[in-house]
Amino acid sequence: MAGTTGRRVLVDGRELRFTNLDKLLWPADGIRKADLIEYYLNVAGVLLRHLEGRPLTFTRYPDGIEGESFYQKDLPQHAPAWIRVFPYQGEEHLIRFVLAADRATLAWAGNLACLEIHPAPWRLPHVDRPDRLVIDLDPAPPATFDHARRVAVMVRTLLEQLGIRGFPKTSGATGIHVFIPLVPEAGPEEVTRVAETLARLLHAARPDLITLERAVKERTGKVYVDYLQNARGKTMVAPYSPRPLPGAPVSAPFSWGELETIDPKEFTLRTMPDLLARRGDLAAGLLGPGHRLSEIAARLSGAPPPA
Amino acid sequence: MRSLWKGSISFGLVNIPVRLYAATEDRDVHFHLLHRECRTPIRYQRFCPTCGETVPPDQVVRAYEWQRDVYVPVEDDELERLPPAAQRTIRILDFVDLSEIDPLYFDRSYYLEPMEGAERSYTLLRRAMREAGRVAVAQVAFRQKEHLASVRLYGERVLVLETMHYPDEVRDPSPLHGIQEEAEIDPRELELAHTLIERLTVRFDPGKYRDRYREALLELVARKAQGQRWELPRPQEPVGVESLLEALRESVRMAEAGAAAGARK
Repeated sequence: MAGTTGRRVLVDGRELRFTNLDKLLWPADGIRKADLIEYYLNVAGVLLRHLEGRPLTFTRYPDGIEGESFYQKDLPQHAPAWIRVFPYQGEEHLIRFVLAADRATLAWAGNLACLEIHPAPWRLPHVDRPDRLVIDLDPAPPATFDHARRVAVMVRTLLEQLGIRGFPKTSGATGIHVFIPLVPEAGPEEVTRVAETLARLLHAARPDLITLERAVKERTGKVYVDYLQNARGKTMVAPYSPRPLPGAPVSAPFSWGELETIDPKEFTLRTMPDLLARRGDLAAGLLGPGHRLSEIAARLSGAPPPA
Repeated sequence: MRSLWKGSISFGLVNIPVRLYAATEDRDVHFHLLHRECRTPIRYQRFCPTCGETVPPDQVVRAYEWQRDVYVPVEDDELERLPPAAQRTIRILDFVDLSEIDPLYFDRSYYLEPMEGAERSYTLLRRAMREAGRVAVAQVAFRQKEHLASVRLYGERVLVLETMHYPDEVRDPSPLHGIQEEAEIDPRELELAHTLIERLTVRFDPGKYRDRYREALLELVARKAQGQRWELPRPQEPVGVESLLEALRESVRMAEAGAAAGARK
């Protein structure tokens, strides 16, 4: 038993034991594990809607963001019996993915120092049938958020021209993620192909600003449009998930109208609960009706990917 | 009309370059198959029952069924290496009387058009065949097959190639029941039948026969089209790539100008 910080608590009727609540997870910001758990409980109402039915991958930082980290896909040992899991046959072995069904599961994850939550891009029962296509804009230094912002302006125009709904959020770092809701029918390979077509169009319009290079050192100063984030097994950080970066930023959904003025640093573990209460869930539309991938592809058929 | 094939008629020492056109066309009413729920024309996919998946074209190989469940694969390049079956030539082999060829042997009809400069030799063959009153038996290779064929005059002006069945493609009718017997026939009955045939005998006028089923079907479709039309759930027109790229460039140009102006303030 880890000293005096171990506490038995009830969260919505589930018994949990919190340990090391004073552990500094973001040392420079004075943010402790207790704050992370509190954050999860504060935003749970909205966050759970974005996680529901989606196998989760966590990034854990047991010693804070300056310490070592690891991915947690399979259910950890000694997990409470009430944690719901989804058994998925991976390439090598069976993985028991955690499903977040309730506040208690989020609190439990917080206690394990799960700083990042990555939900699958598909939702049960539609295994490996993504209900979103992601356009991941990742500026490579010295490019900054402002560069991602410019490319996001192009994405906004592209989606308008194609008549497609898309929902942007900050990555929490310097990037922007745009999610397009899909009808869950196509596989990740088909989704990736359409995402590649979109990426190639963006790149063809502004090759000076955008890169599709896989080699990291070739991307310098440009915004990498990473369509491969749609590939099988890939996950994006959830809306409202914290990031293991100084300032404790969170990935924050925003509206297209805010694109020109938004500052990703304003959305942190400390500010997000109030902002969320005031702004509402700007990613709620992502859970609404989706586009058919074939329909998007058909609209693009007049626009073959420039090689 | 679009020509299907180019080649030449080889007749003794004469070569007559010609184009081939289909002489008849299918006027059947064809239906499309749609998914009732979303009204989208369905597509066929090549499905492998063993793998439970759709097979892409590059994964498909031709094979000959040597015996039941035993296949011999044949690759495209092996087919290409086969001796070319008389390259692009309608080889006239014999001349016969048309009445000797049972219509059963005829398969499809194609018009032959002389290519530029071949009009004279075309006329020569046409005239000689008209005067002899004979049809030519020929062989010609197209569409992965060496066809038996006849060449004859249709009307006064055009030569027609008729692909024909080989004798082994014509099935033996002898297993049919009731065709071997010669029953006793009352001469008066026969007399009556002869009279009937005579009364119905006219000059052949194909224009007077109509496909009334097809007419009724098209009428049904035309009537329904007044009220019940399924427009394809077609999304907006595909977007032209050039206008799209220009719109993308323009939008980011404006954003960059705005950012620069903001920075100067």
